[in-house]
Amino acid sequence: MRERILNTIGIGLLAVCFLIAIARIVFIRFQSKSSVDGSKVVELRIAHWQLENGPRAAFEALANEYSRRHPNVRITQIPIPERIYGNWLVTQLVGGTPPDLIQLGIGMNDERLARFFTPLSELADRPNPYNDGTPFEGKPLRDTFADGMQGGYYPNLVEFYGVPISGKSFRMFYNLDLLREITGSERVPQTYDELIALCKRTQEYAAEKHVRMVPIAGSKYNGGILMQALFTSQTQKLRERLTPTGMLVTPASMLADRLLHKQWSLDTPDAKSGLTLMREVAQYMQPGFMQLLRDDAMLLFVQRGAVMITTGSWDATSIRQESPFRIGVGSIPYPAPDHPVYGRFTYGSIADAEGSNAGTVLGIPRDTKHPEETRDFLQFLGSVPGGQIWTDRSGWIPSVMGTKTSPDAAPFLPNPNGYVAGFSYLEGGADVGGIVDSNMHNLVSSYGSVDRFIAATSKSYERAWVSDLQRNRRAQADIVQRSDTQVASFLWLARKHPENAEAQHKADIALQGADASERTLIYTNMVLNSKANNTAP
Amino acid sequence: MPAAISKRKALYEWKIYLFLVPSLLLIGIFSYAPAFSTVYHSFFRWSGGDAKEFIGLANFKNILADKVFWNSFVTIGILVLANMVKMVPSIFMAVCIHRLKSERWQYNYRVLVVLPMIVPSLVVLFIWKFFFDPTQGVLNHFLDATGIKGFLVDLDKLFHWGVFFADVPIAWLGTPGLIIPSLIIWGFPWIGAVGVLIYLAGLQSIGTEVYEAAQLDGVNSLQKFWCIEFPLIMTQVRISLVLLVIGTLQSYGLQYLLLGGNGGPGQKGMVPGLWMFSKAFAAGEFGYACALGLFLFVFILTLTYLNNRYVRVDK
Repeated sequence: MRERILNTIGIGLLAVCFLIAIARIVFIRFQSKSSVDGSKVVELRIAHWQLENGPRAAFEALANEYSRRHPNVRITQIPIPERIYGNWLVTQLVGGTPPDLIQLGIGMNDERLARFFTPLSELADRPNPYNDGTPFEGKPLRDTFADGMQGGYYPNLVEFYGVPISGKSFRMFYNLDLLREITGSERVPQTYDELIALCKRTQEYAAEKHVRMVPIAGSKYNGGILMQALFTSQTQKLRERLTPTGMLVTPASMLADRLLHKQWSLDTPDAKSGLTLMREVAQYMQPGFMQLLRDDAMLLFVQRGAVMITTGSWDATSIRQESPFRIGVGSIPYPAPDHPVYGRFTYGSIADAEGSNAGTVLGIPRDTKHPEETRDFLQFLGSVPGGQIWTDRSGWIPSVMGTKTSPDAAPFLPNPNGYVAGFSYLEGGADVGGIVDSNMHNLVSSYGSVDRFIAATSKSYERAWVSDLQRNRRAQADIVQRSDTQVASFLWLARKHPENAEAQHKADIALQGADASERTLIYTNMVLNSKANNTAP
Repeated sequence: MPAAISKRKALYEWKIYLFLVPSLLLIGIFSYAPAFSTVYHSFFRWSGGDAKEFIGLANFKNILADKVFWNSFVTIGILVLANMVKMVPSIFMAVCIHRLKSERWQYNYRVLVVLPMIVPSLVVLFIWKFFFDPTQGVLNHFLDATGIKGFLVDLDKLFHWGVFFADVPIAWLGTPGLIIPSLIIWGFPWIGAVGVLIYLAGLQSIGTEVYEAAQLDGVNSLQKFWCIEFPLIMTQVRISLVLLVIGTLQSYGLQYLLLGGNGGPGQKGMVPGLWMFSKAFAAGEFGYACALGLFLFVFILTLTYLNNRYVRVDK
């Protein structure tokens, strides 16, 4: 009898849970399908990896404001952890089920952009209606961004594919309380030598007080930012030498060509000096930091396990909220040209304003079910009112001109003083990255050295550049093939309707894009053939 | 072997076969269709989506020259052997529970063994990752507190391993020489709930008359294990072995989470599954990844066949 009662209660509970679940689904579906005025509701999904404190609240505020202006549109965020974002995105794109608006960057390359995303060059040339009533009324969208919307421009494709909604800069964050304890002052290092002196003093302090503490909180992510920045300070002059035209632009195919023709290698004095710098700072991070994640480094810093951490402006809000101590912010101290050891390869500090400082760049996939609404929402995000909401709520630096920066974000505004950065050892692609990653322990660990790293990578590094170049060639060929169809259709439209200025404009843009893609493909082919024949390209 | 039945008899109640249709349909869609798609796409240069180029056996030829893939079999071989050794604590635990006189305590121990299964495997992986942290990890704190670290440093000096240093915290996941030991240490004390339950089921099926006879013959505890219990749970051990080999060869989540997509320093933690995953999702070479998957499938199938053929259960 008792068993029967218990069974009945169990089945009853199951039935109640099932009914509640059904009711909840029906309620949510009903809620998402109808708006206040009874019209059909459009739901836009926006995917991003900004899980830091601030941006999610900013996206929420922007979504609410947009829904207030457009009651038939609802916006849902899909925050995906950075670590799996690339894989997740590729799966969504390949499967044909992408969200309506996607943050560009991780897992993205020219081939995927050209294949899965909508070009936004036309949108960039049009005035943004959401800027009406602001000083930018009537101006093309691209002219309303601090970087001219370069963060969303892809030179190999000669197209805009994204709209940057925030800016970024790299900074060193200091635990001011700890800094005072260790040095007796809160002055943050201004030069490279001061940085090293602080690191040494911190190690002495940790030994004196018997505390587990490292000077710099490292991880593959945070340590990588600092080490790459220092490396690129040493390849400034090398980059200039490799580009005799003085353009100071070195695409991967050009760097590969110069590498394959022995004009540079990791053994070149400039690059070697960069590696030496990397090794020097790595000694002040925790052992094995290259296997640690960004969260591990952050945890170490906020738990007073390190005096400083290098990261981007996007982490400022999280660090301030989570640290039980005062935070100081400073620029990355690069070696100056008069530095006795590292000065000969550098022109000086790298300017923040070099290139684009776009932080969060959003693009529209071709498979979106609501292209019009998504374009409109993107225009809102890239407007002065949208930019202001974003900056106020996220605490991040703005990308849209005319928006006021909050005092907290002021230290992160790009510093225009300085020089163009050199190139990084990682620019080849996935295979180059893999070789460097798997051999990095030879450089940064206590048993490592610059020579050991160079010896370990000497053969595979060059091979990886070639295999990355071959992959790029295949991707470029796909892009050319795809753009040929587009060019043909736009040209046909333009010839059939010569009076249609828009068709002419589209044909021009498509032709420019196709030209650039073919140029890249031909150059890549030449580099690979010259490698095979051992001749100059 | 079951006796054959006539076609008429088999189709006498043909309607009952309809009940199988939903299951077969789901298995077909979610298991066999992707498998066939893998075979099909392995002959293409395919980076996802609908655009692909037929390249015949080129992907398979590339596998032959893929050093990383072949090296990954060394790592996986070591891990398979280590996992075989790791079966021992589960067998030991199952025997201990089985020999408990009190049924109530048998039940309590079973619950205690199964309880950790509630914790999601991802959480367990993160906990272990934290254990290995060089500055804040439990493992290094433990080694420092017990003085084992000093012993390891002395051993290092003696054998010139070059992995343990006196004033440097041990970078378990950042030193190539410590990657495989870390992967082996993972999961200590290696008592798997599923394994214990499988062996326990086997042990409980042993008749009491066998134990009574053994007692009359005067066997001790160790003899009881070697001569009665272990031979009689060999069916379960073989099942575990097959599952273990397949699971180890297929798995890469542990390596991915602890070491990243490149398999850690020197790619010492690279396993075939992780290489396949990296090729598909990092390099975008889905066609090649399909070929790798197909190769792995044939390899596992061969090992399973050999296991079934040669690991005999002789009762």
